[in-house]
Amino acid sequence: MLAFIIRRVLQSLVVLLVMSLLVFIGVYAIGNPIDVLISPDADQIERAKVIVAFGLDKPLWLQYFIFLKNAAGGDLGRSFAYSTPALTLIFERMPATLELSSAAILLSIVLGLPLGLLAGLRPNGVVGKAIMAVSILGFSLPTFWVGLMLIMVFAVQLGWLPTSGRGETQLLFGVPVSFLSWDGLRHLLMPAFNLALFNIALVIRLTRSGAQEALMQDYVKFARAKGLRNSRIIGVHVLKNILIPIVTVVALQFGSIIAFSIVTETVFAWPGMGKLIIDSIRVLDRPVIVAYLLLIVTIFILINLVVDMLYSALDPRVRLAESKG
Amino acid sequence: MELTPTFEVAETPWQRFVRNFFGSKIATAGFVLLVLIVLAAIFAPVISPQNPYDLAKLDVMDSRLEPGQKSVDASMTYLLGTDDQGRDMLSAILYGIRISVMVGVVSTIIALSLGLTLGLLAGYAGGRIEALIMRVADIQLSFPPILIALILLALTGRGIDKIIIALVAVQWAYYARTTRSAALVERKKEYIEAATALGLSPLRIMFRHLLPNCLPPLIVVAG
Repeated sequence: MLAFIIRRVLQSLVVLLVMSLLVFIGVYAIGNPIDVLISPDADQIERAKVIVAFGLDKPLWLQYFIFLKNAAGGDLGRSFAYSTPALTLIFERMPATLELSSAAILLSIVLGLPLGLLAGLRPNGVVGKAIMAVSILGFSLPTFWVGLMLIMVFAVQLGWLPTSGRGETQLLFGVPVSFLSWDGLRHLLMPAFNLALFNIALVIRLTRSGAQEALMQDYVKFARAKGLRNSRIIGVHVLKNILIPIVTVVALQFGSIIAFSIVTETVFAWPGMGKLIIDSIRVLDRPVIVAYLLLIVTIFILINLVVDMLYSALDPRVRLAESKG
Repeated sequence: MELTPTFEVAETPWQRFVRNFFGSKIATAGFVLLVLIVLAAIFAPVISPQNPYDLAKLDVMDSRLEPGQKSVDASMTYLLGTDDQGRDMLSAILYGIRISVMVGVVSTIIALSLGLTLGLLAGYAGGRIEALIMRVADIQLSFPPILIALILLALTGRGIDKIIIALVAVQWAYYARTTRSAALVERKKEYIEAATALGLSPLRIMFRHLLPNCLPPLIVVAG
């Protein structure tokens, strides 16, 4: 187990190095940040000054090595556009995003799993068919449209929930969170549901297809013959056997809504970090892009590490020790 | 009288699939709808009232008309109205389907084959190969699609093929991780052990035996 984690950490260092190199070259290929950041009216002297200030006068490989040297000390550079440290910019916005994404994933598991099981147990019943029909809507309705409709119905017409923003936040271990107060929860509910909708549909479909397959297996017949309660057969034996693909896909979705939930954040004016990366790409703010993507790849590596450990917890046939290098 | 043994002709998996599929009303309705959309895409030049790419046919006087209005010279009715350039929306949608369907189908097929192969390989082979494939997938998952598209645009220029490459780059990692998760479990089951004991080649085990059992979650994700 320990060896497994150490090996994964070493691999991650290589991944971070490759990632930073790719982003450096990629941003260099897209264009020159100076052209985007400086107004066209600026004269040559001013241009030259800014280029030197950003360190863009040096060759690319030298810029990269300077970045690596600073990064080793924990400094990922200053944003070209805001001239504050890139990490500060990101960390200011991260709690809001993490809170929204966690709430959305929680919703999709809490709603998706039971509904999917229900649909899988009674594929021909009215309830099962209704669940599947609604899940098609979850797949096909565009996120931004659902968001706008939610605002129209629940905020504008019914007036039950606030339209946008994060509401009142409270400090939890020094991090501002909104789920601790009633006002914050009210703000969180709509964007979280909006973000969760697609994932609820995905979890429902995965659970249903898994449950239908698992119910035909011998161990289910055996458990029934043994006289186990139905709730125990479904909730323990079947669930444990169908969770692996669900865990995989939910984890992938979790990573990508942390990183790229721009649409929902924009519709609900949620002060998260999804918009930061799009704005930074637009003005080629390289320090922020690099720092952001390094952070995201770290999050993905961590999530996938946890998932790989969950695999062997759910199914002892999958052993961590075997995936050694 | 001679007794001739009679064999019931066994249903092939394909026949069984077709029977089950068309036994479901919803699936049949979906299939019909899909066929209609594909036909609309193929025959767009024949059935659309106007060619949105033919500038000579457009009239700026017709711009921003509401659905159902007639054109200035009364030669045609715009069933879905027009955009700011005076293009018939219905025709633009019909022509648009061609590109969307093509890009969607081609990119999904390529990404699925790539992700499936790499995921199977990772799950079956394990070790260094698995570590390499999965860490590349981690990098891929973390790249914003828009950044991939911009980099491709800068390096290679515009074009539908670039869009397809960008979409493949974004999607394959999802399929790879999903396939691997299923392969990790399946590879430990008796039938794989049996296939290995029979001395079947790893390729045959991966694609003939492992693959069909890894498909259900993939179909949901690819759908």
